[in-house]
Amino acid sequence: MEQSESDSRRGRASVIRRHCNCRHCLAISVLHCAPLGLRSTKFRLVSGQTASMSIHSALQQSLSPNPADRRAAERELDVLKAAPGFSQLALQLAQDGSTSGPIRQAAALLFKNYVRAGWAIVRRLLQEKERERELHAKNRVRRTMKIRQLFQCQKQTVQHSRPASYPS
Amino acid sequence: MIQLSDAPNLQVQVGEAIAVMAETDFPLNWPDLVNVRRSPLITL
Repeated sequence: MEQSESDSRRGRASVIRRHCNCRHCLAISVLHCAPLGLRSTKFRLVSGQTASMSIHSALQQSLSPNPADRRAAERELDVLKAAPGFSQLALQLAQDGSTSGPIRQAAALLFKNYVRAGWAIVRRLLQEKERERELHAKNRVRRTMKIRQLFQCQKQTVQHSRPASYPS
Repeated sequence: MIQLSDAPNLQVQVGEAIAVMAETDFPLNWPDLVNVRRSPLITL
């Protein structure tokens, strides 16, 4: 994860370069890229400033006393959630000292809820994978047992019947 | 780098998010979590 020098010098919202596709990089800037390894699909979120501004304005609107505004803001946030790098931008907004307190708080909540929802899906997929693996292992054991039993039967048949009734 | 030392209420939210990730991913998919937590890159 890098911040481009020119942008940080200008004090603009940072442009983020993500070096791998791992979901940790997606979610919290520094952490790690080890599980999936460094991938060739380098990702550059060039529209970071625009997206950050959109999240900022949507969050600001979501704090409005007008219910219609709040609903519109929630819809906008739902759309923004699908964009790559959303969680990074939400976290950056939460860290941004120049942003007002309520918006930072809302951004932190948004980040937490985003991670919770996303990781719940990941956890479910992992559990399904684990169950599938167990099922495969059980089936493999069952097959091996059956083959072993068949061999035993054949061995006994050969021992008892050969050569009289089992010449070949 | 996560810097939230100035806002304890935000630390709680982000901490919870990291806990959710760690619960799912550690240790298999996040083996260096302990090192990350000890590194100065995250100042919660």
